[in-house]
Amino acid sequence: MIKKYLTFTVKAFQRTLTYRFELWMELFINVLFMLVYVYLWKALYTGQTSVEGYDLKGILTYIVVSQTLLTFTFTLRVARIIEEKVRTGEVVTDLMKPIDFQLMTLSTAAGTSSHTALFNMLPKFLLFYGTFGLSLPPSLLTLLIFVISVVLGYVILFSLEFIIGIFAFWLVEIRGIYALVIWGLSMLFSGYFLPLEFYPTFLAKVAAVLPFRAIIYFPTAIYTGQLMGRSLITAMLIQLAWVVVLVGLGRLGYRAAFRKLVIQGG
Amino acid sequence: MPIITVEHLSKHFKVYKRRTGFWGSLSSTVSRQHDIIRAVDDVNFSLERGELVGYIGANGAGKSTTIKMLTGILVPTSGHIDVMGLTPYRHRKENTRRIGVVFGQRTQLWWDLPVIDSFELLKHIYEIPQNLYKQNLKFFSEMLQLQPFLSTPVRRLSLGQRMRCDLTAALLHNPEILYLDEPTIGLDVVAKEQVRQFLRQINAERQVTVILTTHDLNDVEQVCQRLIIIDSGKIIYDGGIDALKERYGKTRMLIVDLAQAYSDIQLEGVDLTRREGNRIWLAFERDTISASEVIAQLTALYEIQDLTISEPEIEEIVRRIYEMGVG
Repeated sequence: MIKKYLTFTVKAFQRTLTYRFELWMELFINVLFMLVYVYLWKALYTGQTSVEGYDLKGILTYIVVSQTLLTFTFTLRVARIIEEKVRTGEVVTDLMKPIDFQLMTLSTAAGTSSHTALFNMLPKFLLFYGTFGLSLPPSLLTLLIFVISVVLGYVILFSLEFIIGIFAFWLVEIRGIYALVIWGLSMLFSGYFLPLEFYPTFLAKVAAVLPFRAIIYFPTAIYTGQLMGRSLITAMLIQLAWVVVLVGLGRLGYRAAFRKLVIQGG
Repeated sequence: MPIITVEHLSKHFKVYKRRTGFWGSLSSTVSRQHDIIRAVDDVNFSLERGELVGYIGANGAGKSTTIKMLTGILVPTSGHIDVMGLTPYRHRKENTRRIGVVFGQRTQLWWDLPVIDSFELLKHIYEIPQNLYKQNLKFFSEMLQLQPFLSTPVRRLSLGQRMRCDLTAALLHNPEILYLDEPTIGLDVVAKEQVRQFLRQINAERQVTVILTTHDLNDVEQVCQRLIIIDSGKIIYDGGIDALKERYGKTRMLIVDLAQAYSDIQLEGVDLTRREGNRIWLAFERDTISASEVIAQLTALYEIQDLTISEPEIEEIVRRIYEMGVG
């Protein structure tokens, strides 16, 4: 059962190797963007020692970790893949197999993303870590918790994309919703742009009720040591809750889509 | 005991009408009118294990809708389907384990991966035991000569090669029924023949029940023992191919090249269906008048240069049935 889905992960990982040139270009452009961003923050910190509890080293670490995690957001193409499958009718081929569509989509995405993590995110991070002398997590345990939190955040991001993708069963075009949720709300409230501590109170309050901060801000703040003890546990519980809610919503959405498909045809 | 039983099967779709113009679209958003399309309308048939059936019909006749209901991804509006004792849309996953499906227009193989990787993926999806997988892979790659391109990415295969791989992909888990939706579409003559040969063989050697939809009636003539014709959602013919020819193929055609363009051609028991310069096409019923009688009449009245008699092709018969219905 698990093996079935692991095979999707392995094959998707292998498939990613097909487009080496694309991957190198992606990495190159990412690095340039991150460089610009890092120098921007260095400039902003001239004459400042600490803002909202972040010193220069702290903010640079935050920026590099969150920018690295952001890579998942723009390389995960789950919504577009589902839309494409619905549009071409390929989704029917998936439904004619003894598999769970949501699990299959997740395990396939996980394969592509593990490749991204290993060959894009990790080298990128190490490069900046070495060049700018960033901090490590406070302890080895924190590093481990950070990794778990990254995975939880990833599942939340996946679930959001999955739900957006499911809209394709009703709508001809999902680019609007995708842009709103992923490029709008997610960018604004996930904390990649700034640590959420920097946000004005009312925006921070909005961020607190949305799932997006659980994607990037929580794992990053765990890495930097900003979240510790009780607040760390709360953060992870919030992540878990969002995983349950969004995976569940995705499932309900998928069931409804399937009902529509089997009654109204493809 | 039949492997597939379909009784009074119907599928109706609601198609919403859009009114034209500004006020029209405004009122459409408030109250929608719809038409009912009877894609499949009171269809009955049953298949015995090991049958090889051609399911044909013009575009939009209801072929794909029927196949979708049989495979469990479409719920019937009314009627009853029994496939190997299962109701496909209720036992979809169970049903999918025991059937194979090939769509000529799309592939179930992973585009960017070598063929063999897709096969391995399928091995895990269907939980095929390793020895059975190996045995089947060997069997199909020998039969379809897959060896030379097993490690080629699917996107680099020719259409014919891809179809051979798709056929293998649909059969690796030893399905009892194979559904094929236009498996020869776009293939060249050689590749078509290979597919047909393969279907005959797996049907004979492995007792796989095959349902095939196609627009190429040569597929039907060369592969199937039985033919079901659907038109506007209703089955208009179900029986053997020879019986079809016997029943509807009584009209023969005499093509005559006359020595000169006669202005008026009148013959007993014969229809002049076409004329192009000095060439005329004469249709006559086999059981009303014999060919020699027609020729005798002709030669008595006109000067003839050349003539040929053509037997109706299955293609021609089916075209006539589509156009005029069953007479």
